[in-house]
Amino acid sequence: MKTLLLFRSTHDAIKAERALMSAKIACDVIPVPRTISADCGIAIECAPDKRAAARKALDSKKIACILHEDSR
Amino acid sequence: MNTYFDNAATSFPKPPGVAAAMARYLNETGGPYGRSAYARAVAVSREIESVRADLASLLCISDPAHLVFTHNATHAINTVLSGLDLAGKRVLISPLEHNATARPLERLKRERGVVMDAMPHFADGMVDVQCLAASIPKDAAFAVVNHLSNVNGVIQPIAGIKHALGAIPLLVDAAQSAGHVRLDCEGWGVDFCAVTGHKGLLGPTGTGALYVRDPRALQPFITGGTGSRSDSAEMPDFAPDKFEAGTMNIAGIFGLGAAIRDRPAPRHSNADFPAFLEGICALKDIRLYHALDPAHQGLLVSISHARLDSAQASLFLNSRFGIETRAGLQCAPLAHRTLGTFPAGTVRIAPSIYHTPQEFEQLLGALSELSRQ
Repeated sequence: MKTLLLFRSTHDAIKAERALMSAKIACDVIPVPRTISADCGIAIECAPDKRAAARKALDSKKIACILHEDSR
Repeated sequence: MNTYFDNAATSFPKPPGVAAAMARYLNETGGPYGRSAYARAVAVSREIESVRADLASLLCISDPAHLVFTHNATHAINTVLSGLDLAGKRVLISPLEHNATARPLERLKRERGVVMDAMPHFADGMVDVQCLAASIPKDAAFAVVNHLSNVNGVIQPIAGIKHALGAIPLLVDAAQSAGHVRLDCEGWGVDFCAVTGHKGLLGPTGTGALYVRDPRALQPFITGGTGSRSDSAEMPDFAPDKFEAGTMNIAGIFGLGAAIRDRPAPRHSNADFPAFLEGICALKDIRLYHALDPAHQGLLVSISHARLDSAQASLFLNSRFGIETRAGLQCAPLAHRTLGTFPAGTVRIAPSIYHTPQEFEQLLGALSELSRQ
């Protein structure tokens, strides 16, 4: 199980990656899985136990995202 | 001697990091922006967003998403003028507009019935803010102001103009001012600001940007792939994607980022250019076109000669001294009509931060010889 963070734009995704790194939350940039969206954009993946911390870090920077639990 | 005094056309030299950053992208980094998630593509996306953030900071824009990359200031201005519904509306313009604004508006006048009015102004083209506040037509719907004239270097009082305009949306053409004058987009309260990367910012050609205060109020200039919402036939409705269809000038933006980060300190002081202008004023048979208020003078001016036309004068400087200047109308016939130099035009002298006081003195010596022709 992984937590996926989905963004509407690359701008938001890169900004989010920077915010998560600043908050010392380990994450990876991955393509948005086809099972979730037909979009060709990028998503960020992190461990499920970092979900709340990730949400807090992004909220503090006013970065909108959708959290998705991926069971692949 | 640095003989290049045509920096208002395009700057030269560039900081050394510009070419290095562009070569790094072309030879080593490669990859697209915003299209994929492999390491190379993500590295490119990080750098593009980093440059966007740096440029937004320079323009006093708190949310970099409101700053979209364009090919140049002309592209940015056209994005605004074509993306608003101005049909049949009245547009106020400064008296020193460049063709980047005048031509799109002329087209809108012909095709969509747009009406253009010049703002009240002083003899040097500086907008008279008090008169403007007292004379704004009730049906004025939009305004455009060239921040720093590319003919005589007048810096317009944007904060005062915006205050006088009130709720009328304002587009600032900052093609010449970006890099030379502090741009305070949010402090001014302007709605749009167009900049180019290759002039005062010292970046490469083919780079520019547009500040859009409210992305919802503007339709995109071109449509196409953005790497987002790819399942939809419609453009994304959010910035920056809404205004960035197609692959951007990635190599150029890498260079622009280096230009911003590696910007050298000016090689002359704030007093050197005014002193140079005083020297020109003392020359017989040379007329100087400049800001009447020295506090509103940018780093460029124009001159005319009592006997030689602008092309002859520019050729003399080039053939005798190797000095490079721009003769003619400088793509700004409206400005020249305002200054009384249409259609003859002027010789424009546009230094850069690389020029030294000694080079101003050498140029003054050349102008002295020109005055005796």
